[in-house]
Amino acid sequence: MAPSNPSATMMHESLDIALLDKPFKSATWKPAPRRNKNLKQVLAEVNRAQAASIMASQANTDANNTGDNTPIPESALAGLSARATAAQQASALQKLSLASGQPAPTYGNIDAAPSLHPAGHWCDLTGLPASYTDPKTKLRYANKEVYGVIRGLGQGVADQYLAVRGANVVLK
Amino acid sequence: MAPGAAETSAPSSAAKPPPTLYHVSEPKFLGETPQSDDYRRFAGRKEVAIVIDNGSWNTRVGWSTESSPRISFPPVLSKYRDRKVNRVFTLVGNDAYADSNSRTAAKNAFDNDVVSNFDVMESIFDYSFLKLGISNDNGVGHPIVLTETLCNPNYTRKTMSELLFEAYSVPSIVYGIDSLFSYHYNGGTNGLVVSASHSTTHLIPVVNSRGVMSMATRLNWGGSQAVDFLTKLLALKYSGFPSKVYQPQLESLFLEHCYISRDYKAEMSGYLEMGTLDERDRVIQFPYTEIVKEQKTEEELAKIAERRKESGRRLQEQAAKMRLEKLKKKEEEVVYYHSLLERGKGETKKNFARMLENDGFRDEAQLEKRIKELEKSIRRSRNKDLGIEEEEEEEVPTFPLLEIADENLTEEEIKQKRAQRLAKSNYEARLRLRAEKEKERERQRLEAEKEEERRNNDLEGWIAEKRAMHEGIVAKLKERELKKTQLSDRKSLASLNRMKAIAHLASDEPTRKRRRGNDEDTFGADDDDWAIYRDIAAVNEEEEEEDEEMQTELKSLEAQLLRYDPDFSEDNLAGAKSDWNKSLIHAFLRGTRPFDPENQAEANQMHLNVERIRVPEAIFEPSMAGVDQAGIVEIAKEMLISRFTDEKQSERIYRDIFLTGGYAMFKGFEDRMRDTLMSMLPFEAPLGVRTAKDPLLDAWRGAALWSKTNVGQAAWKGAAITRAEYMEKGSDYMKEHNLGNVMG
Repeated sequence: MAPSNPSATMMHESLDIALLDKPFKSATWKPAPRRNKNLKQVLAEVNRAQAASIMASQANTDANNTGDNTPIPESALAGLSARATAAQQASALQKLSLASGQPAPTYGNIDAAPSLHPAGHWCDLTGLPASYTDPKTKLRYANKEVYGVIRGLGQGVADQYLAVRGANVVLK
Repeated sequence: MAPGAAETSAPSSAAKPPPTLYHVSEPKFLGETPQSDDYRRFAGRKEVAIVIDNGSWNTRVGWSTESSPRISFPPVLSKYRDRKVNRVFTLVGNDAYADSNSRTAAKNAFDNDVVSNFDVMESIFDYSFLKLGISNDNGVGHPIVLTETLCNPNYTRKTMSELLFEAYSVPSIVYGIDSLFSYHYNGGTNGLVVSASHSTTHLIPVVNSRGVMSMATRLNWGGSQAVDFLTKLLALKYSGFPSKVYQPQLESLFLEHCYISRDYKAEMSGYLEMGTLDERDRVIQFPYTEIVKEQKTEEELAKIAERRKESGRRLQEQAAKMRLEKLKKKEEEVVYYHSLLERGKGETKKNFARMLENDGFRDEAQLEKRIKELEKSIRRSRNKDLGIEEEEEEEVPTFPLLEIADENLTEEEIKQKRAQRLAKSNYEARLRLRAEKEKERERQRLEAEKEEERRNNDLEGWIAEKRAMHEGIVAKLKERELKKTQLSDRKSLASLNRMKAIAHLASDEPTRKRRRGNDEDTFGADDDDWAIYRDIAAVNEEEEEEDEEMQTELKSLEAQLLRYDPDFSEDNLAGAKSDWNKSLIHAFLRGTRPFDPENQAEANQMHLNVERIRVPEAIFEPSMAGVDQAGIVEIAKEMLISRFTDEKQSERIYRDIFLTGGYAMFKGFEDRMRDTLMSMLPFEAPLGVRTAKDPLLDAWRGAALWSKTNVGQAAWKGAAITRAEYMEKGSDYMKEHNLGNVMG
């Protein structure tokens, strides 16, 4: 079977780096198995390791000072309140108990907190400022004409519009 | 979509020049990246570092002594098997986009802003060192300066160190944060680094040239999320778009057409105003194939007409022949029947009757009738052949038997009389009908005349009357439509009433209203009672018929009005009530020109208008794209006002808000940051906002500058992990420095 597009194959051959001589690379190098982890797996492992180390250190402190119950410094707690989500606070608290004073920044806890400003109301279809909400679909709309379009939307389309701004109902 | 937009084209827009079209096309492969051939200049120079800005949008690689990176490519690997030559190709960077096969197999090294696929990463290093032309045996003999994301997870850094030290035997590695390198390159010492890049946006305050990591914050919004946002919006805006839209096309749309609005709410409010929309509306033409209708030349047309005529003639000839044959047959038949009649006269009555019966006749009269009929038809067809117009004189049938009393008739004749009576009443009914038709025609003619007269004498009154009728019908149709939509909604009053009526009809119980002594069911006494069944029918055929009638009436009214009313234009037609010129949705979907769905070019066009500011705006208001985080300005404000306790320090930071990363290249980003921050910060705060000289390349340049100036110095030693240290302290080992991450 002749290749249908010989020039493409030839081009790929010239671009291919697999067979090129790489003198700078160690001949004995073998990548570790399962080194590829997606972000979620990496973060889950970090959390697990933290939990384990906290358990260990707690056991340590309990053994060291029985009765002398040092409370967590208040200033450190105040700094925490700025970081919002409960999960973040929990993980930050864990950090705190390592007695470092300030929670060390990690990939998991540097996420910005939710906004304290009221969210703007924008038309879900046209993006214009929207003064109305359709009680049936919960879509926001700018004027009567857009409302007419919303009424005529097919099944599930309204949900897709809501999903764009994360306001759709997700059944789990 | 505005109905009727296609047929009603306002004269004002007809004169409009066609819009400027922006074309999208398949991304072109730029060709092979050449391999550097000047490695001799760097070979053996351990003080020259290889600087790698390892970003999720582009990887940039070069020598620390140079001012720009040598190569820049997307961090992707395409490993795919070509079945025809049975070989696996390993293509990296731009080469992965060489053709559609390799493009679909391309994998990115990054998950969000963190390296997750080290197979891809390893290929990227292979590719980078090959392209730099490194030909050392036993390892890459240069220190590596590598950028990483803010708070890069330890696992990722560890695996990266393992890869670089073990596979490439590098002498040392310096890890640093890209945006801090960029700030370093732009000469900043105290300020807030805002790095809006491909996968994320980071805000890192810098005090005395050192990043304050404890306050560093990440917003999960960047160019890639914005492209996703645009993708979703366009998919919903043009559902059923005829051509396929590719990811690179969307990326280019985002980069080319989006900009950041200085005052989002104000600009958005007036964005779709027809008068000025042309300035903002971008028409994107997608590739399409024109369905070409074959144009026939005049010669061909003539030929076709000739052929048609020829075949027509042949048919005519055939028909004539058939007619002639039939005629002959009929003539023969007539001759035969005549002879039969002749012969019959000589025979006895009984014999004659038998003869008649043999030929299928009941009696002589029938035979005569038949002969008459045949003769008539022969005459007619002869005349037709000869081209003589025959005067159709209808002979008035006579019914002689009706006049005679039954007593004077034989039984046979009474039968005939009965038949004649029937024929007579038929005949009279026909006449009556004809007369009625005539009368109706006359009446219509008179009415038309009267109306014309009225129109001629009192045009205004006539128009007013017709208009009122027109409006009445339109209103009625609208009401019907409304009722129909209401019925489709289970909670509407109309449906509730309907359900109530059904329940009432179905129940056997007498209604409570009925009083004692009056419990007789009177349903049906009033004819209107039966209307209830019409009202509860889900699909009302009668109403649909009425609707149709009204539509035809409407059409004729509109035709008249169009003809005689100078003020009644096509815009006033019922169908064109949603005039596209005033339609917001039309402006949103199709811009300022009428839309013709039959036109292939127009059907394959997208109009980017509100998306141009709506998509990049999400960095200021992430909630509009479903990201539950504060916007970039709110984060900055919170950081500067609430979290910096030292006022002097936070003031020094106000002075230098530094924007870097690809997102910072959007037109208007800097102005918007300045305006919004100004409104949030304390009165007369000495605010300064600036953008990196090159928001894309300055991270690499900063890293190169830093390593060039510091190599061999204390700062370098404080930041670089050497091979010996790696061997001694393990792959988890890292060093904290001014421009890098801290231990997490």
